[in-house]
Amino acid sequence: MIPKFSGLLAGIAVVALSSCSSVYKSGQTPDDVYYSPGKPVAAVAKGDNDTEDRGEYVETNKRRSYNRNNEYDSYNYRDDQYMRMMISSGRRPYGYGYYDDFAMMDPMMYNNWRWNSYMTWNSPWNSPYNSMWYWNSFYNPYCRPVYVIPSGGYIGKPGYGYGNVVARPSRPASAFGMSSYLNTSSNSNRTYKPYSYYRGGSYNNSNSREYNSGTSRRSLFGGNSNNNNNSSYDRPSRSYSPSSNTGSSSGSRPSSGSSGGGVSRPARTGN
Amino acid sequence: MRKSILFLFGSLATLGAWSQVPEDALRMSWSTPSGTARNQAIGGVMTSLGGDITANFINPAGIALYKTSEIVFSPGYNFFNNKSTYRGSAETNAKSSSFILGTSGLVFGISDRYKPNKSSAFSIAVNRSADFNNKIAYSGTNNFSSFSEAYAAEVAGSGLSIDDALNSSSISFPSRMALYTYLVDTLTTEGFGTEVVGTPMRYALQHDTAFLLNQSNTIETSGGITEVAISFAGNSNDKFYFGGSLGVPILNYERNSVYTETDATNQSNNYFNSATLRERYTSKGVGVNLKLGAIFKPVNFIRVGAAIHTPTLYGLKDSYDATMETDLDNYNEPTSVTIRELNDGYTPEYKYDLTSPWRFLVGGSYVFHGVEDIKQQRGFISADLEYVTYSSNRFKNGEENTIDNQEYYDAVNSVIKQIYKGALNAKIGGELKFNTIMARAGFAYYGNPYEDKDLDGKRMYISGGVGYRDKGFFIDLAYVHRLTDDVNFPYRLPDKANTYAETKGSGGNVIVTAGIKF
Repeated sequence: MIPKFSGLLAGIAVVALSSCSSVYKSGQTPDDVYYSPGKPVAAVAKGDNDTEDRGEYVETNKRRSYNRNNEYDSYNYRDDQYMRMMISSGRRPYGYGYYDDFAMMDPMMYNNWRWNSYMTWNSPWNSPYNSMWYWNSFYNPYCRPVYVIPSGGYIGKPGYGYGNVVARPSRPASAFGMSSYLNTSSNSNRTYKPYSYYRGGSYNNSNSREYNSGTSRRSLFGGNSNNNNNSSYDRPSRSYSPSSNTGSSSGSRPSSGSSGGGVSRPARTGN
Repeated sequence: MRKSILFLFGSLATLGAWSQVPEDALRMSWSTPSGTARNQAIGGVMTSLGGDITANFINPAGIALYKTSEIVFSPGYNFFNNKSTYRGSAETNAKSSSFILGTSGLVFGISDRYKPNKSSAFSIAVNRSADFNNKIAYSGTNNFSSFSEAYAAEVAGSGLSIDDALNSSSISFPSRMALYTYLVDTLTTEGFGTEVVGTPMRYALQHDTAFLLNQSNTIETSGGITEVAISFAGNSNDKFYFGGSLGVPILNYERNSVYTETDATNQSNNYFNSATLRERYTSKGVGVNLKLGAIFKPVNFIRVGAAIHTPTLYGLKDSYDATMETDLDNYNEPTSVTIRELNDGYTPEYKYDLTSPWRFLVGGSYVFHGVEDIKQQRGFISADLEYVTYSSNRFKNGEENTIDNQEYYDAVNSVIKQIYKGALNAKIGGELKFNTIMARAGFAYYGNPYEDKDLDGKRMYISGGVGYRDKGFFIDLAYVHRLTDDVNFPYRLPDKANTYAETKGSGGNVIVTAGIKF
């Protein structure tokens, strides 16, 4: 998607660079970081106290309109002009139909993001019922999940069906073991439970000395080579003592859908 | 604490050694400088300056400074060289390069000739907010620990028998592969009883002798986060500017790694010759966020700004594939196993939500002659401060009928709170303007997100550039040089001292921005 989007932008840029007739080809090119000039300001009427006080501007078109407070109302004027345009063309103005060919042609609407903007009300994005508002991405985890159903009940020869919840292949909550981050040495190791305790700050980033096959392992890393006491620093306790209630004992993470059967490791062939 | 200066850019990816683990959250939220060439040349400052399309992704109020319109395209090229050391070994180099996309898009400035002190603006833009293209490699000898110990510890801590653990969804796939290939097995010795041990250390534990292993790790990552933003902004009296931006980041990440451990003792019949774990991990998804900001210009030459970025809510889907190969000398014949063999022929996939950190930004600018006449414009200097709550990253289970998996994510979230912290990023930059020609320079410092003081994760970016603007057209060129340090754990042991590689990165990116005013 990214390359496609980049390509689209590149295409737009190339077309724009090659064909765009810039309004700033002559004269200074504005730099909006410093100052953005905007459109030329209409001439301000002089000598009329009312209009000066309100910051009014002179219209060359005399069809000015006033609201009930006798104040100049540019929006009434624009509506008036718009209505005349629609009527003269034989079309119905807005409010009478969905399609409005002149909505974008209204010379006064181009700078108005309010209700009468085509981009606001006529946009399909605006409807609260439009599905585009929803998080309906393929990746949305809240969407109805699509499960792969093994065909004929034979797992390993996948056929595909949708809509039925079936037992999925067994796999952990994560592909990796969070236990690597968690302290499993100071608690019972008979059951697996993620302990909310991070064991950090203990690092060994160098080898103690040159390898010698006759060297006692425990003498290298803080252990006592004269007895069999374990050095938890280099040989933590990892006793093998499986519980009879495997996989579903209290405190362990239950299996999230075992497929049954399972895998047996091949017989070891060595010594 | 190491004093080395880190440069990271792509080294985000060096952190991603696992999926759905704390490093993933950091990788996705540890954004790097990106923007137009002009913005990158000035260190990425844009909280108070405005007038550049990059404001879409920093402070949308900056769009409100536009009363004109423009179209912008920013292609770029990124390269890096990572030098890694591991347990005192010589440096290992890893180089690569990739094309990137700086901020590109459209800005429509909308002014009203009848209300010259008010205007509004609209913009749609795309930006490569994170680039995951990276490669690191390191190797060294180790007589203290083996990667197989991580699996041994997990199996021992599970309370499961070997056969049950091999098929249990409570046990990670690498551990199950290690069981299947006898890289992990039980050992009974006097004084210690029956233990779960890694076969690379089996002989040493059994006979109380030293062991020595060669360990090497190569990690190559690709992808990135491309964010599309739509912004609306308004200007009141050319003093108050405000804006909002809806961002939709699209994430695509792939990681391929090969970890190898071999016997370095030249002994035969010591139960171990070699083991290799090959992994391929992908993560894809889409997120959504909101950025709000304001800029105040009390006088013509002063600007102050502030912005807030809500967390991005990602819906992500991961896939993981791996192969383990072992050659255990006289202990077992060479064996290999894949994930699919342990998962009924399927490659496992995971769906989950990730909520990224909050970001709070403030900035100030001084503009020399911010007037309409281009010939009188002299330049500016601007600075930003940004605070990112890295420790607030949160995972959430995203799969139905697997409520129990949330327990796993709760553990991840707990660890995230403990190993990451909020970090302060500082940026400063400026421009000198000579009519149509501009020269720029900038500097950015990204604070260390690691709570552990032993781990260094800060980044520095030094940048410069030039620009030309005339006849309705502008073009900018920038170079950003990166200095980063990072760490990479080849494996993590829960009950024993860990080891990690240190990576010093250097490199840069060249970016060009071309645009047209209309």
